[in-house]
Amino acid sequence: MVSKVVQAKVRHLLALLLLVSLFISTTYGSISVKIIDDIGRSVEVKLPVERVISIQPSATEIIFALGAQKKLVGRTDFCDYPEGVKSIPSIGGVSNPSPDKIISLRPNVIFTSTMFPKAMAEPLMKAYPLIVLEPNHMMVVYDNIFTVGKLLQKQTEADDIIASMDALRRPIEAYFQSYLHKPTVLILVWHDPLITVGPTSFIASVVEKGGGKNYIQKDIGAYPMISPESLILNEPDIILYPTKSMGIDPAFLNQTPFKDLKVVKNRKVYPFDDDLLFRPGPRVIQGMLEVSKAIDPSLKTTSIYALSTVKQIVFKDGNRLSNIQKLKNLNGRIHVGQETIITITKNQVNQIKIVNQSTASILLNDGNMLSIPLKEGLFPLRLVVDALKGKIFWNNQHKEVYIFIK
Amino acid sequence: MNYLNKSKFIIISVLSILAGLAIFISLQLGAIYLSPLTLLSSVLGKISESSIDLLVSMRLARVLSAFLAGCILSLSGLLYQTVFQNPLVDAYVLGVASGAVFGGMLSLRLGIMNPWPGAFAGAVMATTLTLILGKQNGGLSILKTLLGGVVVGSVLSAASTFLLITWKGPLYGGIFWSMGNFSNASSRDIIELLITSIIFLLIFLFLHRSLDILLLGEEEAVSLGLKVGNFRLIILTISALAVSYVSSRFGLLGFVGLIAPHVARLIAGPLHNILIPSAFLFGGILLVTSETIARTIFIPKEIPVGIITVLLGGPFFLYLLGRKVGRK
Repeated sequence: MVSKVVQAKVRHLLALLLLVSLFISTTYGSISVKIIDDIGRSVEVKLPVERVISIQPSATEIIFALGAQKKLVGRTDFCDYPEGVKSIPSIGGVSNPSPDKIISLRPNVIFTSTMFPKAMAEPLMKAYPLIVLEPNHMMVVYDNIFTVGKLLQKQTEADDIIASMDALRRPIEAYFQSYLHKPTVLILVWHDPLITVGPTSFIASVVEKGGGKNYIQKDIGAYPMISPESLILNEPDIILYPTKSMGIDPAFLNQTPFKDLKVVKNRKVYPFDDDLLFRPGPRVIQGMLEVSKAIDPSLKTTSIYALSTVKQIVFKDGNRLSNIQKLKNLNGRIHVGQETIITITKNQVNQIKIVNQSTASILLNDGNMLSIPLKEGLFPLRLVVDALKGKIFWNNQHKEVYIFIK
Repeated sequence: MNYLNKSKFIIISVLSILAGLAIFISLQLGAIYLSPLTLLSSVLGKISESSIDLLVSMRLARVLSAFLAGCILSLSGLLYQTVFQNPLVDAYVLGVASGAVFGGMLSLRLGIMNPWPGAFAGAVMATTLTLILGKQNGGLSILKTLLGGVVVGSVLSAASTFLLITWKGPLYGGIFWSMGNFSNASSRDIIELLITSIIFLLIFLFLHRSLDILLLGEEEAVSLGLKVGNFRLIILTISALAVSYVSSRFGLLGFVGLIAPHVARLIAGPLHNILIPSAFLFGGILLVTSETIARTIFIPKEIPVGIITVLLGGPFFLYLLGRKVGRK
């Protein structure tokens, strides 16, 4: 009899336990998100994500930029940016990581590229959500930053990164919109054999966003090996060669076919930091800027300001500076307060004096004096920028002002 | 003129004409079509447009380099097949290729941006090692040399893979040799290859009778007064040097050194006085044709020449083999 009672009690207890565990699993199971990755797979990730492995330098850079490096438990040997990356254990190379190491780190999610061997990915995929980040366009890099931010509960940070990238990309797009002839840019991946980027590579889209036209327009693969003859036949206007991870010795410029090209003779050949341009992470915007600077060298000494009239924020070279002071639209012209004018003209202006309610005088570093008419005590932005020989653009879609000024 | 001499004359003439034709057509094809007239006037220095001149000189370098490299690889393959009396042997049997890849990659890894001397040194080193391993009684043992070549080749290619895997630098430089590529050929290459290949050809044309004797087997050859061990050593050393040069400069060009000698044998028979020039010419024809297809099929994209060599040479070899078997 006693045993029956015990049995019943045990059964009750078991039932209760089952119920509780069911409850826990449903509460946690319900918080999961579905991600469509860059190769079209649908991956379900349970939240919260606390342990991440990145098998790709760009994903590591995204995680660091989001400030989520505490969740990063594994990275590759090739992840060398930013500074703190060295303290995170490595799981091996990009194409040959150690599966044992990956499993021992108990990840909640793995970010990887198509370099990751399929044979190794398949068993791992069954145990862990494996997300392939392989953008084929610069705008997909944005999506990826957003996705990673969402998974690591860093949405605000992701939005900030994207905003600061936009604060460079959009001004540059506006700047080059007036170019009738976009120069063709040859991005060298390797010089011998000659390997460059095709239109299906995200790098080509970075070139286009940066104001250039990618040398290869025909879809012949993302990283095609091309014939040196075609270089002579169809010369690029600009050549960029890598200097970092993929570093090429500039001596190749003294060899055929390069030494005979007009573009080489005209010195339109520039080195670039391939870690910026070849990695689809947040720094790709700096890579885009390197392309823009090669196309228009005057940009090297120019500061780029983006003023969002909606959010009332000033960005300088992609960095958030301050809020816009007293922004006002008077008769269709944007007027701002003195402090914002000081922020933007810092390099050229010595002193700003408000003479009276309707006039201000600006003393430049070179000794010249400008007289600026004020309206309601505010400075007309376009007039000031024009007077300082800067360039100013209005983006009606996003209600933003872009200023290029020395 | 007896029957043998007459057939020899016909075979060599036909192959020479084919070789000339292959070179002639290859020179015209590329990213831009160059008519024979343009080619001729450029070579004679009668073109004012510098870009055309440049195109012609680049294409001339590529086409002739591919042709001569093919000649050298094929002749080496033939010699190796004769020495080892083994039809599966190719020009890379002594570990030359792995040596070149290893030497070149090591140079790149050490930060030397001009990897060709390193690649050549690596190739020569691998061959020397193999020949030392194969030494026996003052001569050369076939078995020991073959085994030595396999071991040296495997060790060096493992070492190259190790370098590649542990390397965080530019991978493309390292992969270069495994693909085979003539895009960097220059006019200096033509001269160097021309000298190498002509010396190579003449030496063994001169020695063709001794090579025939070698085919009779070791005992027969010795009884006929041939110092087999020494002779093998000479053949291997000379052809290894030639192959080392080609491999270090243009990477791995598989299949030419294996299949071209066989095709030549099917066409010309076993006697070396016809076989040597036939293999020489056919190797050149095969490689120059493959190279042309590789660089023109997807203009402006280029594909590794090795793929085309196999796709072209394989079926042709099977066809010849089938015909020969069918006739018997």
